[in-house]
Amino acid sequence: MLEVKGLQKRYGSYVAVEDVSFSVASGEVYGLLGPNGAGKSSTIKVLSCLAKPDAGSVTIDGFDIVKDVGQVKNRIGIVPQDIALYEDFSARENLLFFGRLYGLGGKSLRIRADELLEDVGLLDRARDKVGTFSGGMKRRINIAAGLMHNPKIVYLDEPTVGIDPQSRRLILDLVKKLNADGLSVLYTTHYMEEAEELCNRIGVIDHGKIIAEGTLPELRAIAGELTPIHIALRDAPKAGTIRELEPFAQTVSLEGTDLTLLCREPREVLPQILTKLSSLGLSVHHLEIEEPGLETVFLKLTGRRLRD
Amino acid sequence: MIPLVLKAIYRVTERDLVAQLRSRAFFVQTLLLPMILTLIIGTALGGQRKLEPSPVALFAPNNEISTALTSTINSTGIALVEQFSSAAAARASVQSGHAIAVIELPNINFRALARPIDQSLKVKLGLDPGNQYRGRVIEQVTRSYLAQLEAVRASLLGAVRALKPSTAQELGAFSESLLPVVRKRLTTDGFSVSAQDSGGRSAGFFAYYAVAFGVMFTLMSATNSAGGILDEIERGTIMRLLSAPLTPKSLIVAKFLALLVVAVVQLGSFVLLTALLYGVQWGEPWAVFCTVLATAAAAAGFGGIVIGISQTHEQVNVIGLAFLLVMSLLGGSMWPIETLPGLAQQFSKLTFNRWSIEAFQNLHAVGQGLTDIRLNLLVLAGMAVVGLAFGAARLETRFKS
Repeated sequence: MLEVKGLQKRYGSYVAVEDVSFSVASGEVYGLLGPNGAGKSSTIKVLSCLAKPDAGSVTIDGFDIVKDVGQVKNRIGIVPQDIALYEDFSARENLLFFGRLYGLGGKSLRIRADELLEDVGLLDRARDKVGTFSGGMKRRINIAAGLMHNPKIVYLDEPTVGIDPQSRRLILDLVKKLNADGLSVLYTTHYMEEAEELCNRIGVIDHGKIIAEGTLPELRAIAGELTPIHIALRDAPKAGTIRELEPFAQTVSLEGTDLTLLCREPREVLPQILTKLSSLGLSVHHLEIEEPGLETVFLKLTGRRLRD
Repeated sequence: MIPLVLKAIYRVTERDLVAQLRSRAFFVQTLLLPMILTLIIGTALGGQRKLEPSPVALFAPNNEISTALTSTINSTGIALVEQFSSAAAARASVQSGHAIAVIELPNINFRALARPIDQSLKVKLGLDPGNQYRGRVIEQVTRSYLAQLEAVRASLLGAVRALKPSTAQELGAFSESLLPVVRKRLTTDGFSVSAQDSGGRSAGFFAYYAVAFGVMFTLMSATNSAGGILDEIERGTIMRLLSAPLTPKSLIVAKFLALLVVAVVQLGSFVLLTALLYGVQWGEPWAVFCTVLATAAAAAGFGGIVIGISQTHEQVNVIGLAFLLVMSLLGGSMWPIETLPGLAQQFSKLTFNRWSIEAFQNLHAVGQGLTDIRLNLLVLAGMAVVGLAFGAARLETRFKS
């Protein structure tokens, strides 16, 4: 369905996307996982025909995004990170408008709008202006608007940012339902639990590059048996502290007062780590042993946390 | 089969218009305010009624020359001469704001005029600075009358010298014989101004300012619409629009069309209201419609320039207001272009107010037709195209970067 090869996008001297390659099969949910500023939204912008790539190629359903813009636009649905709706229009009016942009009309358009309103749980609020909706409700209509023209692939750009748990659950369930109906999904997020729940395959992106790609088990294998330990110190440690801790962990990283260690046997080495810290005159403010997952993969590959 | 992009343009235009129709601010600014303004200036300027003549103070001996000048000034219809017995009283009349001009004639009559006296006619004219527009008309009328008086006198003296009368008695007799001819020349056949309606139209201040303000309002609407494109960018809907079958160019065309409709309604309402409420006859209907359309298109083009230059709402407001004021000041929306200095009149050719107001005036006051105002329409259309192209190019560049 979607083939991205060696994609590059620059804005002046700033390289937003350096070398991105991945593919999304028909009916697949592909997760693009990375921290803010990693290049996810810039990649989506190019894939949405909103910016031309500086290098590389992108095809959707066999159509090139530069040469066959019209064909590509009919096949993609975009759900931007921001709420891209008209607040002075009702939920139904927004959906009808975005459907009409693609030349749809008549009874089938209204039926489609009502179907989607039902899917996002807002049929009873169809006549209310979007401006009166909560953040979560707006996000749900935002998704529905991107689906009005029955695209073959939908780009969901961080669709659950800043919303309540109920709306988040509704959105995740909706994505599963859409996928079950055969829709391909490109899902960008920096929430690893969402990627773990939804995605068949995941690409980890950082500094405009895919640094790891695969299914969840494949990615976990990259992390091996490592478990992250996060320690928040009361004061910033002196230089050289990291070296003192290296014998206890596979990797040690320090950002300000936040110390992160990847260890094979966390419960065994933790007392030794705490003793060492105490001997260095450092007191611990907070400590957390995290379950191994995508976060661990990202930590191992970049030395940084995903949400930094 | 209509291409998808045209359908999308139509839908965006339709959405913009629906959104504006629902907006109270739009209703107030586009329809209500023009109506109120029309009523206010209609009431203030008396609609199509003729303007009351303003007093002109005259200090002059009561003879045929002063009577003829009085008759000439009164015939303009914009002034009414009031005779004063002293020069001081006549001047005080202007200083108090009662009269718009004072004229002081020397003590000379027809008899003296026909004598070979070697003195020129010295006339004093004073104008009220607050009424310069009418005052200048009175000045011109007075100057023209005096020029004619001087011409008659010069030819008279030339004739007297050519005949070379040998005695003073002979000269006196000769002058006396010429007197009836001179009197007839300067009173009956003399200089006069005939003010009458041309083809049933009278170019009053009301009709002028109605259209001048109408043009200014279309500029305000254009500025607001420029802000509308920024709204699309800020709320992110532009991403959705441009990922649909629309390009930045086609999007700005859609926005342009919406503004065009708004501006046509707005300016059309000025024209219609003045015609219905005050009986203004704007001229050939088809030509008036074309002028409204061309003006609205130029206003939409102005919106394109504002959006091309501005990056934020604040910039739209500041730049839009700056353009609006300068174009209105230079272009005749605040006062007639003829009253501006020569250089400013040249600069006024860069404003679309000038070309629009001039076209309306030529249709309304001069009685011209569509072919006579084709240059105005072409210039307005050109401004529309340039503005639209500039806005589209800038929007495309901005989006790519």
